[in-house]
Amino acid sequence: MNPGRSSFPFSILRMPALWVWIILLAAGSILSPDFFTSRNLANVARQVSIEGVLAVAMTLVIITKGIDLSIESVAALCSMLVVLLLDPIGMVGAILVVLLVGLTAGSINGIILVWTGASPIIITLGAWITLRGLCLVITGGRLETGEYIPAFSSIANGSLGPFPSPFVILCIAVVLGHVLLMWLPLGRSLLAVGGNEEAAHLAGIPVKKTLFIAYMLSGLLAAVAGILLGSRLEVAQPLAAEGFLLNVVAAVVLGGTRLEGGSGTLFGTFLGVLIVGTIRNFFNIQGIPLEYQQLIFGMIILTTIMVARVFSSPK
Amino acid sequence: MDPKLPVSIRKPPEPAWRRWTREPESRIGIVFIALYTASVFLGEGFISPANQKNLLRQISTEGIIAIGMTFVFITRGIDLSVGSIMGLVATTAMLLQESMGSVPIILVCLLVGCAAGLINGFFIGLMRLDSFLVTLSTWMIYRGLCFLLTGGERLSGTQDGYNRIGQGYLGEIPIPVIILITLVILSQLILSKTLFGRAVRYIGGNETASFYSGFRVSVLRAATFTLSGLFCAIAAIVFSSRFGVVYPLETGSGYEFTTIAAVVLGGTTFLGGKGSIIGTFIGIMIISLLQNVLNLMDIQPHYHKLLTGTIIVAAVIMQHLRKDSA
Repeated sequence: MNPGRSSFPFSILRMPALWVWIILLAAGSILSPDFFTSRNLANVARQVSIEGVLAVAMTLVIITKGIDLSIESVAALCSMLVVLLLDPIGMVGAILVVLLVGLTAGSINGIILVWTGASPIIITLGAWITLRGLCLVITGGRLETGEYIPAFSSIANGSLGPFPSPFVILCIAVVLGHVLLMWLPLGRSLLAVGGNEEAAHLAGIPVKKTLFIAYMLSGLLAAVAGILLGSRLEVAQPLAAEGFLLNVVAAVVLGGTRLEGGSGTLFGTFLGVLIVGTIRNFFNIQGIPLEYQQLIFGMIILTTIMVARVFSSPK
Repeated sequence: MDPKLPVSIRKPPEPAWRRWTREPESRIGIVFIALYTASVFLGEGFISPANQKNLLRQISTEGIIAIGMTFVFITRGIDLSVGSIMGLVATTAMLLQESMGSVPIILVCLLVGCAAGLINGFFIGLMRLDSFLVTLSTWMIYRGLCFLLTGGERLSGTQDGYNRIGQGYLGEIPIPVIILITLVILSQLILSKTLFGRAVRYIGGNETASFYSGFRVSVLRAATFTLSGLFCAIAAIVFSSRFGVVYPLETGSGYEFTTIAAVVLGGTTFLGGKGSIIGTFIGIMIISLLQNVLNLMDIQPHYHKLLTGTIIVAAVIMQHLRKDSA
């Protein structure tokens, strides 16, 4: 599980998530003729990108032994704000404001966490509900349509060559995150703090600052996901992104990141996102209702952590 | 204290009233009294007997669930699946209305709740998996089972004896309120006076130490989750018998947040080892009070979520400030 052990292209081959995904692709193409078509695969890529960016955010936080439940609501709030602000302040202005909102939300989580030392689950749970409440309050629980701007719409609906543009954004986020974790001092600090806070402190790592930055980054990435979501929906929808948290957690867990902190890779998470997206797409092709999908994803998380527990050495 | 020390150095014994103000329950109690007094002036019709009766009754289901959640919290666990367990049990209760009498229905319901809690407990206690991940999964799984059982359609119609549990009165007091208060007192006694309660607090305080002291940590932890399931089942019985209508996909959803807010507000820290049921009870009363006043002031129900979230964050900060002053 040590992420630095083997160099990048080979380390990916040792990830169980990769093989799971390949098997899923094979199974999908055998079971359904509509599955392995370039159109459907592009569709999968487009569908996973928003949750994928959130999963990157979640991975960065979980690596520090924390968790950020609020990303779902931050993304929803940002998606609403970006749509509502398009008309008054223009696209670039709206995007900048929304990024700032995400950064602020993440910082508030970080400040409360560092200051009170309370459990991240409880703090971000509070933020999760508060921000969802805020989403409902902004429009009084109603849908509101924004102005249609082609450039804004193309953020999530356009394509860059054969790849859907949101998927390109996801890939950039994954690569940047990987560079951060593997090569930059901050990333090593994140891993060190998650592995052993006490030891990290003794080694001279500013633990509180590192934790704060992790939550701030998570808020920022959630805002990016929110912009993609807003561009995709093109309406301010107070219940947007509801239920994303389960998929995001499933993706992170499938990617081999453990909640105990100190380990995890973004390529693992990326594969986890692809697995979740592939399964979901397959369910949609088969017309399985959302409630069953949730049930099955719940079972997938349970199975994954059980398998991980059985195969990892007991602590 | 060393008796040879001069008297002037000995710390004078703290007067009882000051020790009392240190207790989290009494502090949160003072907050409640202050809010109650404010509501009398703010909310029109707040003081009317009908509203006063409603104040406790409207929150009785959440209150019952919050008791189980307190036990889970004290062992440093979290149970996100409570709303779904309640939905599952309420669905079961409605499905059985025509084929069984009241008593068997209640027994089956309690059994289903315990089983759902035991499944959580099995994974968390015996398999030693993370309680957040497990209950996040079972949250979805139990709700999915509700869908599997009913197809998501509204269920209604309860039999005569059964609906008396939720709608009946004992003298002037609604039966759900009596159930809630009885359970609060019983659970507080269990937590503070029995070996089980002490073991639960030990595990939360220091899991390794309690393991080496001979407590069977895994079994006890599984027991707290089973207990939580049991309380969800009781809440589901109260709910379904009171309203006679259950929406399999919605009943109980959102309760996980209200109950967590109540538990944190009541002074139980997520860092384990400390907590009281009375505190949780006062916490749930504060939430009920605030919701009630918002309703009376005719503020949209959308604000409820905002309120619950803010309460959780505020309570966490309050706990921290208390830690500093102590």
